[in-house]
Amino acid sequence: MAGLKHLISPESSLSATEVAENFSAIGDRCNDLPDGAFEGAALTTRHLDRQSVGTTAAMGWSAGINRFKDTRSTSFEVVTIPASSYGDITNAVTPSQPLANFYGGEIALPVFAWAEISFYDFDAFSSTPWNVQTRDVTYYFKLQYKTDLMSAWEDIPNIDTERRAQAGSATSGGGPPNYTAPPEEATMVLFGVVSPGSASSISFKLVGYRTNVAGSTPKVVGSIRSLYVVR
Amino acid sequence: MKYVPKEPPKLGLIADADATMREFNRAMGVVYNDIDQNNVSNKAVSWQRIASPVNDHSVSTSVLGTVNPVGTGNLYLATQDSGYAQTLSGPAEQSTGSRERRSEGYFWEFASADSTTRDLILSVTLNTETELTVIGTGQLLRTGTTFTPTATIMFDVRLYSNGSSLGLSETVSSRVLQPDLPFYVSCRKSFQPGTHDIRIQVRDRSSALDDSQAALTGVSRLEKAAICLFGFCR
Repeated sequence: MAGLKHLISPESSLSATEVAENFSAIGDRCNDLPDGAFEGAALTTRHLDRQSVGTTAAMGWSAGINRFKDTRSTSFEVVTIPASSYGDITNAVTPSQPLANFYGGEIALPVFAWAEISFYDFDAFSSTPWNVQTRDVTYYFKLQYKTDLMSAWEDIPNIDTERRAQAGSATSGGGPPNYTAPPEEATMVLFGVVSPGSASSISFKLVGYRTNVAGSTPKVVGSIRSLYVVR
Repeated sequence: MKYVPKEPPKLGLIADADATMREFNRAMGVVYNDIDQNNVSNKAVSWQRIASPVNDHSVSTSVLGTVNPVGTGNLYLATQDSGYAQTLSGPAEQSTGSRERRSEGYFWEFASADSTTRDLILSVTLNTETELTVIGTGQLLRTGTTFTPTATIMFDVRLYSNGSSLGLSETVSSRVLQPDLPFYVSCRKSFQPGTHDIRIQVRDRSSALDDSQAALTGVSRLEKAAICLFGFCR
Protein backbone atom coordinates (compact mmCIF):
# COMPACT_ATOMS: atom_id res chain seq x y z
CA MET A 1 0.00 0.00 0.00
CA ALA A 2 1.36 3.41 -0.96
CA GLY A 3 2.64 5.62 1.83
CA LEU A 4 2.15 9.21 2.83
CA LYS A 5 2.11 12.05 0.33
CA HIS A 6 4.79 13.96 2.24
CA LEU A 7 7.53 11.96 3.88
CA ILE A 8 8.32 12.75 7.47
CA SER A 9 12.12 12.98 7.65
CA PRO A 10 14.42 13.64 10.64
CA GLU A 11 15.06 17.34 11.28
CA SER A 12 12.67 18.37 8.53
CA SER A 13 9.37 20.07 9.02
CA LEU A 14 5.94 19.74 7.48
CA SER A 15 3.49 22.51 7.15
CA ALA A 16 0.01 22.12 8.53
CA THR A 17 -1.27 21.73 4.99
CA GLU A 18 1.18 18.93 4.29
CA VAL A 19 0.18 17.13 7.46
CA ALA A 20 -3.47 17.48 6.46
CA GLU A 21 -2.64 16.11 3.01
CA ASN A 22 -0.92 13.14 4.61
CA PHE A 23 -4.09 12.34 6.48
CA SER A 24 -6.06 12.65 3.25
CA ALA A 25 -3.59 10.31 1.54
CA ILE A 26 -4.17 7.72 4.25
CA GLY A 27 -7.90 8.15 3.74
CA ASP A 28 -7.64 7.78 -0.05
CA ARG A 29 -5.68 4.54 0.18
CA CYS A 30 -7.68 3.12 3.02
CA ASN A 31 -10.98 3.80 1.30
CA ASP A 32 -9.99 2.55 -2.13
CA LEU A 33 -8.13 -0.68 -1.56
CA PRO A 34 -7.15 -2.79 -4.58
CA ASP A 35 -7.40 -6.57 -4.66
CA GLY A 36 -3.69 -6.99 -3.96
CA ALA A 37 -3.92 -5.16 -0.66
CA PHE A 38 -5.45 -8.14 1.10
CA GLU A 39 -3.63 -11.03 2.61
CA GLY A 40 -5.24 -14.42 2.30
CA ALA A 41 -7.65 -15.00 5.17
CA ALA A 42 -7.71 -11.28 5.98
CA LEU A 43 -11.02 -10.88 4.21
CA THR A 44 -13.53 -13.47 3.15
CA THR A 45 -15.72 -13.26 0.10
CA ARG A 46 -18.59 -12.61 2.44
CA HIS A 47 -17.10 -9.19 3.05
CA LEU A 48 -17.25 -8.16 -0.57
CA ASP A 49 -20.31 -6.49 -2.00
CA ARG A 50 -21.51 -6.56 -5.59
CA GLN A 51 -19.73 -3.36 -6.54
CA SER A 52 -16.34 -4.52 -5.36
CA VAL A 53 -16.59 -7.76 -7.31
CA GLY A 54 -17.64 -6.21 -10.61
CA THR A 55 -20.82 -6.25 -12.59
CA THR A 56 -19.99 -7.55 -16.06
CA ALA A 57 -22.24 -10.51 -16.72
CA ALA A 58 -20.52 -13.53 -18.23
CA MET A 59 -21.01 -17.27 -18.54
CA GLY A 60 -24.65 -16.87 -17.64
CA TRP A 61 -23.72 -16.09 -14.08
CA SER A 62 -25.40 -13.36 -12.16
CA ALA A 63 -23.26 -10.44 -11.12
CA GLY A 64 -21.60 -9.75 -7.82
CA ILE A 65 -20.67 -12.31 -5.27
CA ASN A 66 -22.17 -15.13 -7.31
CA ARG A 67 -19.06 -14.87 -9.46
CA PHE A 68 -17.23 -16.79 -6.80
CA LYS A 69 -19.80 -19.39 -5.90
CA ASP A 70 -22.83 -20.44 -7.83
CA THR A 71 -25.62 -22.70 -6.69
CA ARG A 72 -28.35 -24.44 -8.62
CA SER A 73 -31.16 -25.96 -6.65
CA THR A 74 -34.68 -27.24 -6.91
CA SER A 75 -37.19 -28.74 -4.56
CA PHE A 76 -39.79 -31.35 -5.26
CA GLU A 77 -43.13 -32.07 -3.74
CA VAL A 78 -44.39 -35.37 -2.43
CA VAL A 79 -43.42 -37.87 -5.08
CA THR A 80 -44.15 -41.56 -5.43
CA ILE A 81 -41.02 -43.70 -5.31
CA PRO A 82 -40.45 -46.31 -8.02
CA ALA A 83 -40.69 -49.91 -6.87
CA SER A 84 -38.04 -52.60 -6.96
CA SER A 85 -35.42 -50.93 -9.16
CA TYR A 86 -33.87 -47.51 -9.56
CA GLY A 87 -35.95 -44.91 -11.32
CA ASP A 88 -36.26 -41.16 -11.48
CA ILE A 89 -37.74 -39.15 -8.66
CA THR A 90 -39.97 -36.68 -10.49
CA ASN A 91 -38.51 -33.15 -10.58
CA ALA A 92 -35.49 -34.08 -8.44
CA VAL A 93 -33.02 -32.67 -10.97
CA THR A 94 -30.83 -29.61 -10.49
CA PRO A 95 -31.03 -26.93 -13.19
CA SER A 96 -28.02 -27.03 -15.51
CA GLN A 97 -24.99 -25.46 -13.86
CA PRO A 98 -22.70 -23.52 -16.25
CA LEU A 99 -19.07 -24.36 -15.55
CA ALA A 100 -17.02 -21.23 -16.07
CA ASN A 101 -13.47 -22.25 -16.90
CA PHE A 102 -10.97 -19.47 -16.32
CA TYR A 103 -8.05 -21.86 -16.26
CA GLY A 104 -7.91 -23.16 -19.82
CA GLY A 105 -6.35 -26.57 -20.08
CA GLU A 106 -6.00 -26.97 -16.36
CA ILE A 107 -7.61 -29.47 -14.06
CA ALA A 108 -11.36 -29.04 -13.74
CA LEU A 109 -12.81 -27.64 -10.58
CA PRO A 110 -15.04 -29.94 -8.58
CA VAL A 111 -18.79 -29.52 -8.32
CA PHE A 112 -20.49 -30.51 -5.09
CA ALA A 113 -24.03 -31.83 -4.81
CA TRP A 114 -26.46 -32.49 -2.00
CA ALA A 115 -29.93 -33.96 -1.76
CA GLU A 116 -31.88 -33.48 1.43
CA ILE A 117 -34.93 -35.67 1.51
CA SER A 118 -37.52 -37.14 3.81
CA PHE A 119 -39.58 -40.17 3.02
CA TYR A 120 -42.41 -42.10 4.58
CA ASP A 121 -45.34 -44.41 4.06
CA PHE A 122 -48.08 -42.10 2.86
CA ASP A 123 -50.81 -44.51 3.95
CA ALA A 124 -49.60 -44.62 7.51
CA PHE A 125 -49.69 -40.83 7.78
CA SER A 126 -53.07 -40.38 6.13
CA SER A 127 -54.80 -41.91 9.12
CA THR A 128 -54.56 -41.19 12.82
CA PRO A 129 -51.15 -42.32 14.04
CA TRP A 130 -51.23 -45.61 15.89
CA ASN A 131 -54.38 -46.60 13.98
CA VAL A 132 -52.57 -47.87 10.95
CA GLN A 133 -49.98 -50.58 10.94
CA THR A 134 -46.58 -49.27 9.91
CA ARG A 135 -44.66 -51.28 7.41
CA ASP A 136 -41.03 -52.10 7.13
CA VAL A 137 -40.27 -50.62 3.73
CA THR A 138 -36.61 -50.18 2.80
CA TYR A 139 -35.79 -47.11 0.74
CA TYR A 140 -32.78 -46.73 -1.58
CA PHE A 141 -31.51 -43.46 -3.02
CA LYS A 142 -28.42 -42.27 -4.86
CA LEU A 143 -27.19 -39.31 -6.87
CA GLN A 144 -26.36 -39.32 -10.55
CA TYR A 145 -24.84 -36.68 -12.79
CA LYS A 146 -24.75 -35.72 -16.43
CA THR A 147 -22.60 -33.17 -18.25
CA ASP A 148 -23.04 -31.72 -21.72
CA LEU A 149 -20.40 -34.20 -22.89
CA MET A 150 -22.30 -37.27 -21.70
CA SER A 151 -25.19 -38.98 -23.43
CA ALA A 152 -26.64 -40.63 -20.34
CA TRP A 153 -26.86 -40.18 -16.59
CA GLU A 154 -24.15 -41.95 -14.64
CA ASP A 155 -23.39 -42.76 -11.04
CA ILE A 156 -20.93 -40.40 -9.42
CA PRO A 157 -17.42 -41.88 -9.62
CA ASN A 158 -15.04 -42.24 -6.66
CA ILE A 159 -17.72 -41.83 -4.03
CA ASP A 160 -20.58 -44.25 -3.49
CA THR A 161 -23.61 -42.04 -2.86
CA GLU A 162 -26.14 -44.84 -2.46
CA ARG A 163 -27.85 -44.78 0.93
CA ARG A 164 -30.66 -46.88 2.30
CA ALA A 165 -32.93 -46.61 5.30
CA GLN A 166 -36.28 -47.58 6.69
CA ALA A 167 -39.07 -45.24 7.65
CA GLY A 168 -41.20 -47.20 10.03
CA SER A 169 -40.95 -50.17 12.23
CA ALA A 170 -41.67 -53.78 11.58
CA THR A 171 -43.31 -53.78 14.97
CA SER A 172 -47.03 -53.87 14.50
CA GLY A 173 -48.45 -55.87 17.36
CA GLY A 174 -51.33 -54.62 19.46
CA GLY A 175 -53.89 -53.90 16.76
CA PRO A 176 -55.61 -50.56 16.20
CA PRO A 177 -55.50 -48.14 17.91
CA ASN A 178 -52.72 -49.64 19.93
CA TYR A 179 -49.99 -50.60 17.51
CA THR A 180 -46.65 -50.60 19.20
CA ALA A 181 -44.94 -48.32 16.73
CA PRO A 182 -46.10 -45.01 15.23
CA PRO A 183 -45.54 -44.14 11.58
CA GLU A 184 -42.16 -42.57 11.05
CA GLU A 185 -40.77 -40.09 8.59
CA ALA A 186 -37.11 -40.74 7.90
CA THR A 187 -34.64 -38.18 6.61
CA MET A 188 -31.46 -38.53 4.64
CA VAL A 189 -28.76 -36.31 3.20
CA LEU A 190 -26.90 -37.55 0.14
CA PHE A 191 -23.63 -35.98 -0.87
CA GLY A 192 -21.52 -36.29 -3.98
CA VAL A 193 -18.69 -34.47 -5.72
CA VAL A 194 -17.60 -34.59 -9.35
CA SER A 195 -14.67 -33.21 -11.32
CA PRO A 196 -16.40 -32.67 -14.65
CA GLY A 197 -13.31 -32.40 -16.83
CA SER A 198 -13.72 -30.07 -19.78
CA ALA A 199 -17.52 -30.08 -19.66
CA SER A 200 -19.26 -26.74 -19.80
CA SER A 201 -22.37 -27.64 -17.82
CA ILE A 202 -23.51 -30.23 -15.31
CA SER A 203 -26.71 -31.42 -13.64
CA PHE A 204 -27.39 -33.79 -10.79
CA LYS A 205 -30.45 -35.88 -10.12
CA LEU A 206 -31.82 -38.09 -7.41
CA VAL A 207 -32.88 -41.62 -8.23
CA GLY A 208 -34.41 -44.13 -5.91
CA TYR A 209 -36.57 -47.17 -5.29
CA ARG A 210 -38.12 -49.03 -2.39
CA THR A 211 -39.03 -52.55 -1.52
CA ASN A 212 -42.53 -53.73 -2.27
CA VAL A 213 -44.62 -54.13 0.85
CA ALA A 214 -48.34 -54.64 0.44
CA GLY A 215 -50.50 -51.86 1.80
CA SER A 216 -47.84 -49.16 1.70
CA THR A 217 -47.52 -46.05 -0.47
CA PRO A 218 -43.95 -44.82 0.00
CA LYS A 219 -43.31 -41.20 -0.98
CA VAL A 220 -40.42 -38.78 -0.85
CA VAL A 221 -40.13 -35.01 -0.60
CA GLY A 222 -37.08 -32.77 -0.52
CA SER A 223 -34.58 -30.68 -2.40
CA ILE A 224 -31.41 -31.14 -4.41
CA ARG A 225 -28.68 -28.59 -5.06
CA SER A 226 -25.26 -28.21 -6.61
CA LEU A 227 -22.43 -25.85 -5.70
CA TYR A 228 -19.73 -24.67 -8.05
CA VAL A 229 -16.88 -22.57 -6.72
CA VAL A 230 -14.64 -20.57 -9.03
CA ARG A 231 -12.63 -18.69 -6.53
CA MET B 1 -15.28 1.33 7.56
CA LYS B 2 -14.34 4.48 5.69
CA TYR B 3 -11.58 6.59 7.19
CA VAL B 4 -12.45 10.27 7.28
CA PRO B 5 -9.99 12.77 8.85
CA LYS B 6 -11.80 14.71 11.50
CA GLU B 7 -9.16 16.90 13.08
CA PRO B 8 -6.52 17.74 10.45
CA PRO B 9 -4.23 20.71 11.22
CA LYS B 10 -5.30 23.95 9.62
CA LEU B 11 -3.07 26.34 7.70
CA GLY B 12 -1.89 29.33 9.73
CA LEU B 13 -2.91 27.87 13.04
CA ILE B 14 -0.72 26.24 15.65
CA ALA B 15 -1.36 22.49 15.53
CA ASP B 16 -2.80 20.88 18.60
CA ALA B 17 -0.49 17.96 19.43
CA ASP B 18 -3.29 16.05 21.15
CA ALA B 19 -5.62 16.50 18.16
CA THR B 20 -2.89 15.37 15.76
CA MET B 21 -2.23 12.25 17.79
CA ARG B 22 -5.93 11.52 17.96
CA GLU B 23 -6.05 11.76 14.18
CA PHE B 24 -3.10 9.38 13.81
CA ASN B 25 -4.72 6.93 16.20
CA ARG B 26 -8.00 7.16 14.34
CA ALA B 27 -6.27 6.43 11.03
CA MET B 28 -4.34 3.55 12.56
CA GLY B 29 -7.46 2.13 14.14
CA VAL B 30 -9.28 1.96 10.82
CA VAL B 31 -6.34 0.40 9.02
CA TYR B 32 -5.73 -2.23 11.67
CA ASN B 33 -9.22 -3.14 12.77
CA ASP B 34 -11.95 -1.74 10.60
CA ILE B 35 -11.17 -2.64 7.01
CA ASP B 36 -14.25 -4.10 5.38
CA GLN B 37 -16.05 -4.10 2.05
CA ASN B 38 -16.51 -0.32 2.18
CA ASN B 39 -12.78 0.09 1.75
CA VAL B 40 -12.54 -2.00 -1.41
CA SER B 41 -12.41 -0.18 -4.73
CA ASN B 42 -15.26 -0.73 -7.12
CA LYS B 43 -14.50 -3.66 -9.43
CA ALA B 44 -11.17 -4.09 -7.67
CA VAL B 45 -11.45 -7.80 -7.16
CA SER B 46 -10.60 -9.50 -10.40
CA TRP B 47 -12.33 -12.79 -10.93
CA GLN B 48 -10.66 -13.66 -14.20
CA ARG B 49 -6.99 -13.19 -13.37
CA ILE B 50 -6.84 -15.40 -10.35
CA ALA B 51 -5.00 -18.47 -9.25
CA SER B 52 -6.66 -21.78 -10.05
CA PRO B 53 -8.00 -23.37 -6.87
CA VAL B 54 -6.69 -26.71 -8.11
CA ASN B 55 -3.60 -26.06 -10.21
CA ASP B 56 -2.32 -23.29 -7.96
CA HIS B 57 -3.86 -24.60 -4.82
CA SER B 58 -1.10 -23.29 -2.58
CA VAL B 59 -1.84 -19.65 -3.44
CA SER B 60 -5.50 -19.80 -4.42
CA THR B 61 -8.07 -18.20 -2.19
CA SER B 62 -10.14 -21.38 -2.27
CA VAL B 63 -9.41 -24.89 -1.07
CA LEU B 64 -11.13 -27.17 -3.57
CA GLY B 65 -8.60 -29.64 -4.85
CA THR B 66 -4.94 -30.28 -5.41
CA VAL B 67 -2.67 -31.41 -8.19
CA ASN B 68 -0.94 -33.66 -5.66
CA PRO B 69 -3.78 -35.98 -4.77
CA VAL B 70 -4.32 -36.53 -1.09
CA GLY B 71 -7.45 -38.57 -1.50
CA THR B 72 -9.27 -39.51 -4.64
CA GLY B 73 -8.18 -37.88 -7.88
CA ASN B 74 -7.64 -34.18 -7.49
CA LEU B 75 -10.36 -33.84 -4.87
CA TYR B 76 -10.03 -33.51 -1.14
CA LEU B 77 -11.88 -36.75 -0.77
CA ALA B 78 -11.14 -39.94 1.16
CA THR B 79 -13.42 -42.95 0.88
CA GLN B 80 -13.68 -46.44 2.25
CA ASP B 81 -12.79 -49.18 -0.19
CA SER B 82 -15.67 -50.19 -2.40
CA GLY B 83 -17.36 -53.29 -1.00
CA TYR B 84 -15.62 -53.02 2.36
CA ALA B 85 -17.82 -53.12 5.44
CA GLN B 86 -16.20 -52.35 8.77
CA THR B 87 -17.46 -54.34 11.75
CA LEU B 88 -18.05 -52.14 14.78
CA SER B 89 -18.11 -53.08 18.40
CA GLY B 90 -21.66 -53.70 19.56
CA PRO B 91 -23.16 -53.40 23.01
CA ALA B 92 -21.45 -55.67 25.50
CA GLU B 93 -22.47 -56.97 28.86
CA GLN B 94 -20.42 -55.28 31.51
CA SER B 95 -20.75 -57.65 34.42
CA THR B 96 -23.08 -60.16 35.98
CA GLY B 97 -26.27 -58.55 37.10
CA SER B 98 -25.98 -55.37 35.13
CA ARG B 99 -25.84 -54.44 31.53
CA GLU B 100 -23.58 -51.83 30.17
CA ARG B 101 -24.93 -48.28 30.13
CA ARG B 102 -22.59 -46.31 27.97
CA SER B 103 -21.78 -42.78 28.96
CA GLU B 104 -20.55 -39.86 26.93
CA GLY B 105 -17.04 -40.11 25.58
CA TYR B 106 -16.58 -43.85 25.68
CA PHE B 107 -16.17 -46.36 22.93
CA TRP B 108 -15.66 -44.11 19.97
CA GLU B 109 -14.24 -46.01 17.03
CA PHE B 110 -12.51 -44.61 13.99
CA ALA B 111 -13.81 -45.44 10.55
CA SER B 112 -11.41 -47.76 8.73
CA ALA B 113 -10.44 -47.33 5.12
CA ASP B 114 -10.12 -50.99 4.17
CA SER B 115 -9.69 -54.51 5.45
CA THR B 116 -6.25 -53.68 6.87
CA THR B 117 -8.23 -51.52 9.32
CA ARG B 118 -6.03 -48.50 8.73
CA ASP B 119 -7.96 -45.38 9.60
CA LEU B 120 -9.87 -43.50 6.97
CA ILE B 121 -8.03 -40.17 6.96
CA LEU B 122 -8.35 -37.07 4.83
CA SER B 123 -5.15 -35.10 5.29
CA VAL B 124 -5.05 -31.47 4.23
CA THR B 125 -2.21 -28.97 4.58
CA LEU B 126 -3.18 -25.32 4.77
CA ASN B 127 -0.89 -22.37 4.16
CA THR B 128 -3.16 -19.90 5.85
CA GLU B 129 -6.07 -19.91 8.20
CA THR B 130 -8.99 -21.17 6.17
CA GLU B 131 -12.66 -21.60 6.75
CA LEU B 132 -13.33 -25.19 5.76
CA THR B 133 -16.54 -27.09 5.31
CA VAL B 134 -15.82 -30.68 6.27
CA ILE B 135 -18.29 -33.41 5.39
CA GLY B 136 -18.48 -36.95 6.67
CA THR B 137 -20.99 -39.36 5.25
CA GLY B 138 -21.60 -43.09 5.26
CA GLN B 139 -23.95 -45.95 5.86
CA LEU B 140 -24.43 -47.80 9.14
CA LEU B 141 -26.32 -51.04 9.45
CA ARG B 142 -27.17 -53.50 12.15
CA THR B 143 -27.86 -57.14 11.54
CA GLY B 144 -29.18 -59.76 13.92
CA THR B 145 -32.56 -61.26 13.37
CA THR B 146 -33.01 -62.10 17.02
CA PHE B 147 -32.89 -58.48 18.07
CA THR B 148 -35.89 -57.56 20.14
CA PRO B 149 -37.79 -55.10 17.97
CA THR B 150 -38.86 -52.81 20.77
CA ALA B 151 -35.28 -51.81 21.45
CA THR B 152 -33.85 -48.67 19.93
CA ILE B 153 -30.74 -49.02 17.86
CA MET B 154 -28.66 -45.88 18.00
CA PHE B 155 -25.35 -44.59 16.69
CA ASP B 156 -23.44 -41.37 17.26
CA VAL B 157 -21.18 -40.06 14.52
CA ARG B 158 -18.71 -37.20 14.70
CA LEU B 159 -15.80 -35.67 12.82
CA TYR B 160 -12.39 -35.78 14.41
CA SER B 161 -9.24 -33.82 13.62
CA ASN B 162 -5.75 -33.75 15.10
CA GLY B 163 -6.65 -35.29 18.40
CA SER B 164 -9.98 -33.74 19.15
CA SER B 165 -13.57 -33.74 18.03
CA LEU B 166 -14.65 -31.04 15.64
CA GLY B 167 -17.47 -30.46 18.04
CA LEU B 168 -20.36 -31.75 16.06
CA SER B 169 -22.08 -35.07 16.01
CA GLU B 170 -25.17 -36.68 14.70
CA THR B 171 -27.27 -39.38 16.27
CA VAL B 172 -29.12 -41.79 14.04
CA SER B 173 -31.56 -44.28 15.46
CA SER B 174 -34.21 -46.79 14.54
CA ARG B 175 -36.49 -49.41 16.00
CA VAL B 176 -36.53 -51.57 12.92
CA LEU B 177 -35.33 -55.14 13.26
CA GLN B 178 -32.30 -54.78 11.01
CA PRO B 179 -31.98 -51.07 10.33
CA ASP B 180 -29.94 -49.26 7.73
CA LEU B 181 -28.91 -45.89 9.06
CA PRO B 182 -27.29 -43.38 6.71
CA PHE B 183 -25.44 -40.51 8.31
CA TYR B 184 -24.23 -37.10 7.22
CA VAL B 185 -22.20 -34.82 9.45
CA SER B 186 -20.69 -31.54 8.40
CA CYS B 187 -18.86 -28.76 10.10
CA ARG B 188 -17.76 -25.32 9.02
CA LYS B 189 -15.07 -23.66 11.03
CA SER B 190 -11.70 -21.94 10.76
CA PHE B 191 -8.70 -24.24 10.56
CA GLN B 192 -5.23 -23.02 11.45
CA PRO B 193 -2.31 -23.26 9.01
CA GLY B 194 -0.65 -26.65 9.05
CA THR B 195 -1.65 -30.25 8.45
CA HIS B 196 -5.01 -31.55 9.56
CA ASP B 197 -5.84 -35.24 9.63
CA ILE B 198 -9.59 -35.56 9.55
CA ARG B 199 -11.32 -38.78 10.50
CA ILE B 200 -14.79 -40.09 11.30
CA GLN B 201 -15.68 -41.58 14.66
CA VAL B 202 -18.67 -43.77 15.38
CA ARG B 203 -20.04 -45.29 18.54
CA ASP B 204 -22.83 -47.75 18.92
CA ARG B 205 -25.09 -46.50 21.68
CA SER B 206 -27.71 -49.17 21.21
CA SER B 207 -28.77 -50.05 24.67
CA ALA B 208 -28.93 -53.60 25.89
CA LEU B 209 -30.92 -52.47 28.91
CA ASP B 210 -34.33 -52.77 27.34
CA ASP B 211 -33.44 -55.74 25.30
CA SER B 212 -32.88 -59.41 25.64
CA GLN B 213 -29.52 -61.08 25.66
CA ALA B 214 -30.03 -61.71 21.99
CA ALA B 215 -29.20 -58.10 21.24
CA LEU B 216 -25.59 -58.76 22.01
CA THR B 217 -25.32 -61.07 19.05
CA GLY B 218 -26.20 -58.33 16.63
CA VAL B 219 -23.49 -56.99 14.36
CA SER B 220 -22.97 -53.34 13.49
CA ARG B 221 -21.24 -52.36 10.30
CA LEU B 222 -20.04 -49.20 8.65
CA GLU B 223 -19.66 -48.92 4.89
CA LYS B 224 -19.43 -46.35 2.09
CA ALA B 225 -17.87 -43.84 4.47
CA ALA B 226 -16.37 -40.75 2.87
CA ILE B 227 -14.75 -37.53 4.03
CA CYS B 228 -14.68 -34.47 1.81
CA LEU B 229 -13.85 -30.82 2.35
CA PHE B 230 -13.72 -27.47 0.65
CA GLY B 231 -13.07 -24.03 1.98
CA PHE B 232 -12.23 -20.43 1.48
CA CYS B 233 -9.29 -18.39 2.68
CA ARG B 234 -11.19 -15.22 1.93
